Amino acid sequence: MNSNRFIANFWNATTILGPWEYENPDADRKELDEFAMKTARLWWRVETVDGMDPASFKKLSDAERQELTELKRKFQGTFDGGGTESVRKMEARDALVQMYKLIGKFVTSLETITVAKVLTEIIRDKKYSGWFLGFSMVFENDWTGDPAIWVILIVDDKLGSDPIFRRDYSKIHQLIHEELSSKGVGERSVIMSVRTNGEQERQLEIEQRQGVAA
Amino acid sequence: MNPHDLLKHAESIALSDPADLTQSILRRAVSTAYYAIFHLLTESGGAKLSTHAAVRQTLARKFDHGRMVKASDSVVKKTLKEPLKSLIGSIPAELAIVASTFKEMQSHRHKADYDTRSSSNFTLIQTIQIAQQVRTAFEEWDKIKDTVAGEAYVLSMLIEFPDR
Repeated sequence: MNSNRFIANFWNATTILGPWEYENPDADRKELDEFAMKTARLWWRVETVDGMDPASFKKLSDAERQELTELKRKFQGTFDGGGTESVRKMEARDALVQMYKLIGKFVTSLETITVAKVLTEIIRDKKYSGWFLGFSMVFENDWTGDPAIWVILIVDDKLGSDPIFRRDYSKIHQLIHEELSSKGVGERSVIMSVRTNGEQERQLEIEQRQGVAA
Repeated sequence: MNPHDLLKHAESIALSDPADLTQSILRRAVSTAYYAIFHLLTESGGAKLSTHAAVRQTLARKFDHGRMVKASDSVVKKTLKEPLKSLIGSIPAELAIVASTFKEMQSHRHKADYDTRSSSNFTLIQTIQIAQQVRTAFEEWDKIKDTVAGEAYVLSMLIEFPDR
């Protein structure tokens, strides 16, 4: 697996969690358990850390790289039962906590954190309670070569055909544009779309199959 | 080509029987949704400059995708230069929606037509929402197309104003 593939997988997994919301996983245990169970198949995947090579993180010290290696090993150690229908609550939560630790070590870009925080804040707003499960975020230039952020907001399956959601989504869409611009991320174009939880799961399976075939 | 018909076509593709939907159909719907907003704006631009159908069509063909996205980018990022800055003033919310939709749709369209990686696949709900986004932009454009800001925007898509 090449590093780009790893980055894409990692971001697909980590941003779906809205990880910056939970500063203290122990205090938010119940909510975390529910969220971990509901979204496990999107992030609890071997591919999430498969291509991660701690040695390639040049800015980290030797001790930090060693810590990253250990975190990766612990996350990989949680895979028994992961990604299946029979996900057990404690296992999912344990994996989620390990994932948070990995994110804390890995995510160092201020811009990335800013974007993720803005998105998390908006989709967790009580006004849209229950609509969004998370988001997938990829930093990649658009066709003109300008820097862009491709955001896919993940919604619950039942919302896919909900007329109220379809009508009101445009307000959220515009709000995200405005918030990112006001937070100084305006240099990047923001390209957004929506998928349901089920669609995202199937898409990840397709990518996994094709990645393996390649 | 009627942009409203194009949008209806994109919506109808996205609302086909899910069992019949393939990547090529979904990608075609995304591409069609982009061309709906493209033709909406080029037709508006042509109509502003001539009352004669033949002249309007000639003018509409002069619009360039790259120039149009650049003009939209200036609105989205609020980096308008004179004389547009003075003409448009504070960017109306309706114009911001139209410009950001055009810009996003062009990127979606390029992915749909040229990026064959599976990671760039489109899903049904994604496609429906993209068509809905264009529908919203149509409605917002209707509110603003005859204002100074609307006319200046569409003119900036056709004519590059030199920096001064």
